[in-house]
Amino acid sequence: MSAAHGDHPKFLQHHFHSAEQQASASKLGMWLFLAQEVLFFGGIFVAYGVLRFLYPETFLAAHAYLDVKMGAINTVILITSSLTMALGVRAAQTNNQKQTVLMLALTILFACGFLVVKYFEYSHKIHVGLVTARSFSATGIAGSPHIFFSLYFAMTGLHGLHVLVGIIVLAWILMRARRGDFSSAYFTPVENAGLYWHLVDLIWIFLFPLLYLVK
Amino acid sequence: MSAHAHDSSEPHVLPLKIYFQVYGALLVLTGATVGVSLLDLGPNAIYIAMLVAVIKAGFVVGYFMHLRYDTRFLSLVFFGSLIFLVIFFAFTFIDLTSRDRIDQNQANFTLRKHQDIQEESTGSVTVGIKRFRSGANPPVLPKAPEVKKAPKPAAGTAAGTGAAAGTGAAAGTGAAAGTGAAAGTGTAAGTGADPGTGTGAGTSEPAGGGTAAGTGSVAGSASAAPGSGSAAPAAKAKAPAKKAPAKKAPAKKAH
Repeated sequence: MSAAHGDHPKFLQHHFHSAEQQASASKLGMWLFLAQEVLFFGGIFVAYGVLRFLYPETFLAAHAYLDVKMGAINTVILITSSLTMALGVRAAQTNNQKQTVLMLALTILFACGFLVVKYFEYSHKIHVGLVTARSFSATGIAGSPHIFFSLYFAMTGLHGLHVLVGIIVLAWILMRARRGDFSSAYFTPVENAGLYWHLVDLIWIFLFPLLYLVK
Repeated sequence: MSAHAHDSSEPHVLPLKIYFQVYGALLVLTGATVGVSLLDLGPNAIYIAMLVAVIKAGFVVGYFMHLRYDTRFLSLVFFGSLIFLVIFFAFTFIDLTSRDRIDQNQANFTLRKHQDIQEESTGSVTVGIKRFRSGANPPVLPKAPEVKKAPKPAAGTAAGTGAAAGTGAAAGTGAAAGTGAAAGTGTAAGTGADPGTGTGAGTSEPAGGGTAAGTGSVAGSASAAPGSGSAAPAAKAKAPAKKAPAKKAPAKKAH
């Protein structure tokens, strides 16, 4: 037993046969989690579909109060962060520790940028009363705009929460990368954090046209 | 053992070029989405927007997330969840768009409630908002950029749930197909033009009948569209094919 112990690479858990088995098990777990995320967000997308079907005019009128420019900027920011994330994983795969750290740091930076833009959008909306439920005090929009804005805040809020969690996870991975935990033999945590981050990007790819570009 | 494992588990590394190409494609497609939204495409815009979103998603999943090169089992897990999302969408919208065929009152109820809100802007909803207001002067809203497209014109309301049904169901398809890959929405976009005219009568029936009927022919055209999609396992191809006929059928029916 103790002999076997000495033989293990440091990252290999005892209950796995080999590094490949550990990596593939871990990745499968991550994809199962992503599948769950799809269904988790799916509910609110269906709600969007139903409400847009029932109140097309409201959606058309209310979406004009969202700032397309900010939405587009955020889309570009997230796509760019997805690129840096993918490059970070690649750097880990190729034993390029310095670049891994750099790319992870850039990804976190873009994620923060996304939240900053979102902050300006939110604070403006709160200022003019386009908030959910009882605080909704804006007037002059045709239809039932509070429905649209409840959805807007629920969808982007849930997504924003994912961005926030992503920042925390990536910061942890960044710290481990700096410590030298990863190599071409072991980069699963970088890869899985990347998968999560790409999903966050993926969801925004759908949110952006659905909320900002209603026609 | 450790050295051995190391040798046999060389990671699959994509060339740098691919990442930048995918990034470029994503940026171009983002521009396209915004550009298309400026055109006056009316209710068809959502199909195009969703088609573009699906293609973008395909790039992200296939290359950034590496799914194209991973074991098919991971594709099964991911697209499996998308199939259930499609089911979620499909049945919700079949219900939403076909109630009037079972009970006319239900359809009327939905329609009337909607019109009430539209017509009397002082209706129950607005009153409700007023009641909650804290009394202070409501903040003044900035002028919204004028809405270019007149909301579904009179005809839309007159045609009633039917007309809306066409679009609504499609919206479901679009978003859900988002899941499926380029294939699904490709067809949705193609047929998108029709349902508007297809209208009232035929909406719900084809949803049921069409599913079985149209699969073959539609699947054919669908498979021409994808190209861009990622791993494309059997599961993926299945989802769009199932959806498409529901859209296609009403158009035929209208003839």
